[in-house]
Formats: sequence, C-alpha cells, structure tokens
Amino acid sequence: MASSANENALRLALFGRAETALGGVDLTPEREVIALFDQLRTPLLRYTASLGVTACDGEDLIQEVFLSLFRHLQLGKPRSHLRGWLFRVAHNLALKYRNTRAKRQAVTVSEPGLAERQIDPETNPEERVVEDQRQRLLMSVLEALPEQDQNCLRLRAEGLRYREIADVLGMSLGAVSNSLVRSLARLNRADAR
Amino acid sequence: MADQTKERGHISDQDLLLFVDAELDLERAHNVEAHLAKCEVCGARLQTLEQTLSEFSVAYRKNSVDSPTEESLARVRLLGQMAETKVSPGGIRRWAPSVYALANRRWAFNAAVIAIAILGVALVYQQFWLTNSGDSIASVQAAPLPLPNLTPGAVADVPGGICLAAPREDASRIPVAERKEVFREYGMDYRHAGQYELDHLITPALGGTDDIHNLWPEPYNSQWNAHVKDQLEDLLHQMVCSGQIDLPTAQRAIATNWIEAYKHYFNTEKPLASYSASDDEDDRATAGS
Repeated sequence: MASSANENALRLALFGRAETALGGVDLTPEREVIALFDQLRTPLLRYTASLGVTACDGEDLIQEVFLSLFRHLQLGKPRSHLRGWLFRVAHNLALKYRNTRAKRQAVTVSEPGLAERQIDPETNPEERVVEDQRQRLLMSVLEALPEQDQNCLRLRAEGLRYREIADVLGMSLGAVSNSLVRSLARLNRADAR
Repeated sequence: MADQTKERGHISDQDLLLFVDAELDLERAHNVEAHLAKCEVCGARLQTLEQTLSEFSVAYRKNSVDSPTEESLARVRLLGQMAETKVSPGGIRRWAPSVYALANRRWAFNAAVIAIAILGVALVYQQFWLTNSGDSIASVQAAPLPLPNLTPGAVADVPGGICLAAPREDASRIPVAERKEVFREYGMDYRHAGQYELDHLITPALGGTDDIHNLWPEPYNSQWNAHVKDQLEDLLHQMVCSGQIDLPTAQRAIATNWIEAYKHYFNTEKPLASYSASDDEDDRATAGS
C-alpha cells in the first residue's frame, strides 16, 4: 500500500491528477497512450515506411501521432476506435511529410516500398530460402498493386477491421472489400504459379 | 454442384469478406450462413480468401523497420513530451516537432531546459514504476484490456458444443498457484487481488480455457469492467447459438479487443447498464439510461 501511495504522490506531482479511491488502477490518459504505444509502434512504423517515410523521420512522426492521441484523450474526445484513429493520423502525417519532401527536393527519389526484412537466424538455411522466396513473391505482388489497394492490404495485415480501414483511407466499406478481393485474387494467382 | 445453389446464386467474395468481419446486416449474414452450410464451392472460396490473407499477413509482418531509436527510449521520450504538454501554462501547448522549429532561440533554450528537467522526472517516475512492478510490461498493468503478449486468449473444443454444454465461467476452480502467477506476470501484488476479477479473456461459454494465456486481472473500478464484459459474453453466446455469428468470429472478436466488440455488437459507445465504475457522474447517468 505504501508503495502505491508513493506512486500516486509522484504521479500527482507529475500529472496533477488524483487517482480514484481504490488507488492507482484507473486508466489515466498517459497509461492509455503508453499501452497503445507499446502495442502499435512497430505496426505504425511499418505502415509509415511503406508510405515512404524513413525510419528516422518515422520515429518522430510516431511521437507526433501519440502526442496528438494524448491531447485527444485529454480533451475528452471519443475513445472508440483508437487503433483506427492512430492509423488515420499516421496516414495523414505521412502524406503531408511526403508532399513537403517532394516539394523540397526538385527530383523525387523513388523510395523503397518496404524496409529490410527480418532474418531469423534460428531457421535452417534451406527452409529459409524457400520460405523467403514465397514471401518475397507475395511482397512483389503487393508492390505492383495500385497504392490504394496496397494500403488496404497492409492495414488488414496489421489486423484492422474493414470498417477501420475504410475510415483511415476515407473509403466506403464496399470499396475496401472490392479492393481486397482484387488484391487477394492477384496474390492467389502469384501463389499458384 | 447442385442446381439449387446456382439458382439462388453464390455469395460474392466481397460479401464473404464482410461476413467474416461481421459487417453484414443480420438478414444478409443469415443468408450467407445458410448458403455456406450447403455450398461447398463458396466454403472453399472463403477458405482460400482467409488463407491468402493470413499468409500475406505473416509475410508482411516480417518486414521490420530498422529504427535508430530503441523502443524503451522512444517510450521515455513520449512520457516526457506528454508531461511537458500537460504542465505547460495554459494547458496544451504546441508539441515536439514544432518545438524543434522554434525560431526564437531564448524560447527554444527555455523549452529545452524544461524538457530535460521533465525527462529527468519522467525517468525517475519510470524507474519507480519498474521497481514497483518488477517488469517493464507492468507499466500498463490493470487495464480493462489485457496485454496481448501475456493474454492472447486460449480456446479448446467443448465436448457436445458450447450451446449444449454451456460451460460456466468459474474462476474459483483455478488453482491459487496459477492465480498468483497471473498477478506476478502482470507485475501486480496478489494482496490487492480483491480489486480485480481474475477474468477469462475468452469466456468458457465461448470455448475459452483456464490456461494462463486466457487469464488476466481485470479491474473492477473501471468504466469497462468485468461486469460489462459479462454482458458481451452473454450476447455473443446467444448470437453463436442462434447462428447469427460463428464461434471463431465470436472468439476472435472478444480476444482482439472486447471493448470494441462490445461497442460493435451492442451498437453503443458506452456500457449499457450502470455497472460501470466511471468516476464521471455524467457518464454514469447516460450509461444508466
């Protein structure tokens, strides 16, 4: 109990917010933000990288995204669909970033669509080659798709619901499922070959 | 393939996807379900769609972004910036990237001093958090949602099916050693166990097991508490047994984010009954109505 009282005192000093009577177990905006940060930092970095943001700038961008989430929660705005909300903010910031950078550089350098692939040293080399070839094939099909279709597929791979994807990309639910059906057919054809 | 199915027409790929994501209205969902029960062609197509999606997801998630910043450092930086946003006079100020861009150098200097001071406090705070809990994961302890890495959910087939057997959720049958272990992995003191329900993420009535991966300490004094979750569990159980959704969909919905699932299936933004222990009186008034 003493330690939790201490923690509360510290938190009060830091954030000026009293805890509820039971002490220290309610969800402060800070905790909510950090919980989502731990959960979604990598997926968001991956997504912004796919939109052409470098890893270094991506890190700053993600900080910006979560700070705006913090302000959003502090202002008592809706807490529903926060995952979709985060991807939407990241998406918009990434597009803004891309536009300003394109303007600054007279020539737009084409950005590698995806960052380096993680190599698992544990797997046996032959398995890795076969596995890797298949996955590379899927990734090359992905990169050949129209950008909107790519984004739909990426967001789905990160586990977003179709409704959330529609919200992030400003599309209708029907358009999202159309896009995915198109892309899945392509992936499937590549797979069958 | 039976002519009958042909006449009635197959389900489009689009509808199959929306069906899996529970986005079809009840009537259409019923039709799809009934059709799938009879039509092997559509069943196989659905399977292919789902398989392609999941293979793609696995491949896609292998792509990592080589960030120069470690996650723990990035987290501390975020904590510091949140603290700064909060303590700044006049409430919410412009935040980090704009701070970098400040033209006024004296301003920038002051901001930097404040930021460093706050980062220091945040570090101490973080340290406190960690020492109290013994594990960095515990920085998000006691939330109405479990940590996916500790509690992803676990299911098993129920002999006779969940509708006939209707297994009960009874945390008391879980051995004390396992209960303590759950609290320990969440970095929480078991002596405070009374403030939490040791809850199944996927309720046994939906095929969830007593496995430790399916258990987490759920706080009572939160707006989204165990009592609210019980309502969702009852609803999903009914929906599965009346054929409105299938069991894997229900399990996935409740395991992924039960609060979102509640909002979706009850079509509401707030818990429906007055179980919620929100500290906001207005919230409670609206929720109770």
